[in-house]
Amino acid sequence: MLLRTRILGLFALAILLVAASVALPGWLVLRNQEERIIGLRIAAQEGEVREALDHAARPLTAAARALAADPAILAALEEGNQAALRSRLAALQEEGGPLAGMARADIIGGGGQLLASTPGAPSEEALVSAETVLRELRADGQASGLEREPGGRMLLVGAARLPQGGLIAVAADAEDAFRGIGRALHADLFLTDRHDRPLFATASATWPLVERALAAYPAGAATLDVGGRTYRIVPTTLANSAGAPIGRLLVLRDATAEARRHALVLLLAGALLAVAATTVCAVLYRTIRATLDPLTGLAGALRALAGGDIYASAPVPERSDEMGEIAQALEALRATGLMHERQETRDRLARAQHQALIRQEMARLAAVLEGAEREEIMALLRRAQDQAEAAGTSLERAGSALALAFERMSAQVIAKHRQLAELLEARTRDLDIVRQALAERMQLNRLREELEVARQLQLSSLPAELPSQPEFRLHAAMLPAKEVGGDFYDFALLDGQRLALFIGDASGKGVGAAIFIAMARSLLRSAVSRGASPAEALAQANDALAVDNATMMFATAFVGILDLPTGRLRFASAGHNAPRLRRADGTEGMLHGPEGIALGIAEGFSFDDREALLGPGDVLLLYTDGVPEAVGPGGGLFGDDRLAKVFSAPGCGDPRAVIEAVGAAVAEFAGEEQQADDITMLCLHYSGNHIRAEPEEGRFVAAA
Amino acid sequence: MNQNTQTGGPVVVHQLAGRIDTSTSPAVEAAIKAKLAEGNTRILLDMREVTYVSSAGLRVVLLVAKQAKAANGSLALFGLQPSVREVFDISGFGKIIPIAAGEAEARALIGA
Repeated sequence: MLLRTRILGLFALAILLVAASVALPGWLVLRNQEERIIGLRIAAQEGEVREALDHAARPLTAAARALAADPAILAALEEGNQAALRSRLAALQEEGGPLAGMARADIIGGGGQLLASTPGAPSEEALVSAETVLRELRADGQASGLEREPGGRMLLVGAARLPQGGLIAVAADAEDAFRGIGRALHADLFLTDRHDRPLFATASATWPLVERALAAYPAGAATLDVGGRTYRIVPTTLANSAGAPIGRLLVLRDATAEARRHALVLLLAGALLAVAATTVCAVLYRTIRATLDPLTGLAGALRALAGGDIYASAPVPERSDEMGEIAQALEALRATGLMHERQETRDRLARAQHQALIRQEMARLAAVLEGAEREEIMALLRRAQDQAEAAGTSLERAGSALALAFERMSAQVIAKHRQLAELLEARTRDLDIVRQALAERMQLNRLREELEVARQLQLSSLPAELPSQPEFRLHAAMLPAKEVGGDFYDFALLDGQRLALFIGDASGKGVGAAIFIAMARSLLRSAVSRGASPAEALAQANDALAVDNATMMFATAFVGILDLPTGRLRFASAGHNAPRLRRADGTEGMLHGPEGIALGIAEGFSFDDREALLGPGDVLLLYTDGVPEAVGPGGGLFGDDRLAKVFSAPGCGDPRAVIEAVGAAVAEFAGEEQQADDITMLCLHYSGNHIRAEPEEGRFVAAA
Repeated sequence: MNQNTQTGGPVVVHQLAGRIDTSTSPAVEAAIKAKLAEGNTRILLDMREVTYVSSAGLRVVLLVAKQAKAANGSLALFGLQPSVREVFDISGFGKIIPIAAGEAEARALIGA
């Protein structure tokens, strides 16, 4: 596991670093300590050597003291007799003397000059550097040290102060001294000169090794392993009395035990460190493993869960740390996953149920469709159902089959709806038409009412009161073909002596004709009442009516003025059919006159008056062409002949009876036929001035 | 009421038949007016088959005569049956509308 490895690696690294950070400084400290120890050793050895030298030089110093107390020397010194000194020294050097066996002895003056030395001494140089020695004399006035002969021999020197100042130095070959020192130190000594050339060794056999060791450690402190033993070499720089280094004393000590101890300690420390590190590592490793091991399991389980395996789980012991939390979370996730799976299954079932429900409802809905469309939908539904029930069909496929059926049904329902909408529209249009028709009917009714009013007006405008005069009897009747008629009749008594008679017929029927004829009537009447003759009245009326008559309406008219006392009838006609006159003796005929043009067509026309004389008992019948032109079944016309027949039938001369007879005859003739034209009649019975004619009841008497 | 129209040259002859009354006169009026609108201002009315003319019919004749005149044309009738002739005479319209006995005379009347 990468994480674990990484962590472990990190920890190992950390441990290593810690160990290193402990070991390295430790080692450095150790080294430092070692160097210090070496330093100390060197210093200690210096002391030891010094002491040993001192000790070894005792006899020398004793000899020097002895010499310093030697009276001969003293005397010679007093005298300054160097030769004496010399000889004395030589004498002393002989057997048994204090200088026996000594290499040399010097008597040095206070200024450092060599006063005398033993024979055989090579030079004029003093053995020692007197100033220095003198300076550093011990309290007892003695000193010791080493000197080197120019030839190379190392000398041990003991010195004593001369009472007068100056020194006596006695030197001996240092070899013995060194040997002694070696024995004292329990070690081997090697003496080298300033240039590390060996001068003397207590165990010369090992010199090459030492030399090699020294080569490795020029500073001098070295260890030497030879023959299984470890030797330490501690150098001591030897300086002469002047302080100049004259060589080195290398003390070779067997340090095996110590070295071994040291090594052991180090080993122990290292082992301890290693053990500690290892232990820590192991502990950490185990801990981390224990901690992170479940992680592997959790990771694996999580991966499996993510991959869809909801049953994956990782066995993790009850823990209260993050691992435990993760494990719990994982469990929760798993539970959720399971729940989802269950949910999904439920959803699937639910969806299948829904689809079934939808199919069912759609089948019901398809009932609104008819015939082929219905069949199509039902087939699609069946197919969808089959698919849904067939094993292995995915819900999606079943759903898409259902969707297709739905789509088709939608389309058809929409089409049907559109059809119905169009139907509704058509019906609405029809309804609108019906409504319009109703509105028109209402309007029509209104118009009819108005026409009725107009009719009443017209009828009531016709003169109702028939004037009662002894000279005549008058009756009139008008039967309009429509609600209002285009005919008129009128009569008026002018100044009591004359009776004006009017009859007229406007072209056409209906309201237009009625209006026109009303105009004509009022024009004629006003003209006559102003005193115009019939012709004049017609001319005036014609001129007035012809103006602004774009529609070419015209009216025929007949005007007659009867002078009652005389029975003289003056009349004129404007295109109107001639009236019929029945004489008292039964003769019947038409009252022709000049034929004027109908009123209203052309201005400027003139009319002519005609006269006729009425006798007592004469009956005059004015009528419009609706009488002769009444249409009977088969299209035949009533005609003038039939009219003449009825009019001339013997009977009383009562105008009312006449009109009724004619009316009856026309009605009988027309039968079921619709009245073709307005029928208007005005009948006058003239009884003369002097005769009060009794109305003869009864029928007309046919003319013989 | 039947009618048909012949166009021959600058003159148009309307052959009318049957009754010319309130119900049939509008058609007659429309036909003649149509021809008039096309520029046929010389109009002959062949009345040989006309059995009856009412005041409405008279009015139509008067109307088209006036319009023809207004368009610098002329109108004439020919072949009137006696009863029809009588109507024109009585109303006095015979005085203002050219009436001929035959077609040739009628053509002469309108200057064609």
